[in-house]
Amino acid sequence: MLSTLVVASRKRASPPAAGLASEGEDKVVAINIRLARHVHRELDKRMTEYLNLTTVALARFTPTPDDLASLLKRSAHKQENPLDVVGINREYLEYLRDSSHDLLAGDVFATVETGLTRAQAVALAHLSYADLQTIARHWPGTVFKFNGARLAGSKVVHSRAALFHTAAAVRF
Amino acid sequence: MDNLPFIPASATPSNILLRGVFHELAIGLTRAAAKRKLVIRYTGIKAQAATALHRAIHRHDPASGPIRQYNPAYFTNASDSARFSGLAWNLQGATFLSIYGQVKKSCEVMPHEGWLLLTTYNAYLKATDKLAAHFKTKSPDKPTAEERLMRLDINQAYALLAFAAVNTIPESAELKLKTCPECGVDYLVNTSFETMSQKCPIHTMSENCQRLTVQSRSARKRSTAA
Repeated sequence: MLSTLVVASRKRASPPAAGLASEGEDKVVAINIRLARHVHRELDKRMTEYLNLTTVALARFTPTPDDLASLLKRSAHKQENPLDVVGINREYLEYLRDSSHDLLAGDVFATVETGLTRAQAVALAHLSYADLQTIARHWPGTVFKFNGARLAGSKVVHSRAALFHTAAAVRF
Repeated sequence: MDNLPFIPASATPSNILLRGVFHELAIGLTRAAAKRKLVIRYTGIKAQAATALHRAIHRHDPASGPIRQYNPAYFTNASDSARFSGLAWNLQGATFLSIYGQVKKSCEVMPHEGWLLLTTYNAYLKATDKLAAHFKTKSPDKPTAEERLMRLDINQAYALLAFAAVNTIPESAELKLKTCPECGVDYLVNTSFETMSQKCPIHTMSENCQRLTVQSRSARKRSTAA
């Protein structure tokens, strides 16, 4: 029994493929930059450097699973979002749907990274592309709350201290 | 890093159906370099099996002796708070505790303590990986005291949880998390001292850096004038 377990552990000890490891990290950076651009329009060098080192998403998903269900049930929608809001909503929803799959597969870090609850993850993981498009178009405004204060907080401190801020600010 | 199957608090290693999961936990803890006593305490495996597992994974005998207890000041580094590395160390502990709280809150059923420790520790490593890699690549040969990013090991994380009293009475905690209202960062404060006087490490770091920049500028001016 022990020898089998040891062999299994040695297999796991091998480093993950570099491409796969960076792919997951880049997703957070990409979505953070996209969200920050949407909110701040232009990003300076310091902001970009800060965002490149962040490991958690700077936004939190606002709709509850019930909100999503009731929105998708409706046949007619009063709300029609502008194109830029639809675009950012869809990108964020796609990122969340991927992370939901990780979370449901037991990746605990996905909870910290996205701030999703299990109920939200279950609801998001089962959405089709058409559902995402409907939510992106008809949810009143953006589907997330962006933590602009965190990005602003990093700007008021010295650039070297801001580096530590990236890893220390893991709570929304 | 593989995902460890969830273990509820009610699970015991004696349950034959969960034996495999507890062996996975033992492997995970041993790989994270947890003390042998900690592995035994959480997984119920025999001391000989824990030693054999440690030898097989790390190719050397496990360190003998008890699990080090430290003291709260070790984590807040209150006596040496002017040092940059000491401030970064405080943030490391706060990051771990912050993640611990989030992971615990996200569980629908009360999780097993060993599972929670290991999964939180793995998540903490993921959260600090980029920063560690950043410093490593900046000065791989001679990292300065400022650039040396020390991260908690799993045994220190275990001791930190005891001081934060996360699994006992929170009111008796010797270390608590405090959030900076300006930059939103969580940091550790020692409850034995006045908590108001313990400043945010990020702001202290920032002040130190700004002071050093001013000093170096004036020194440069003086040398040019001379």
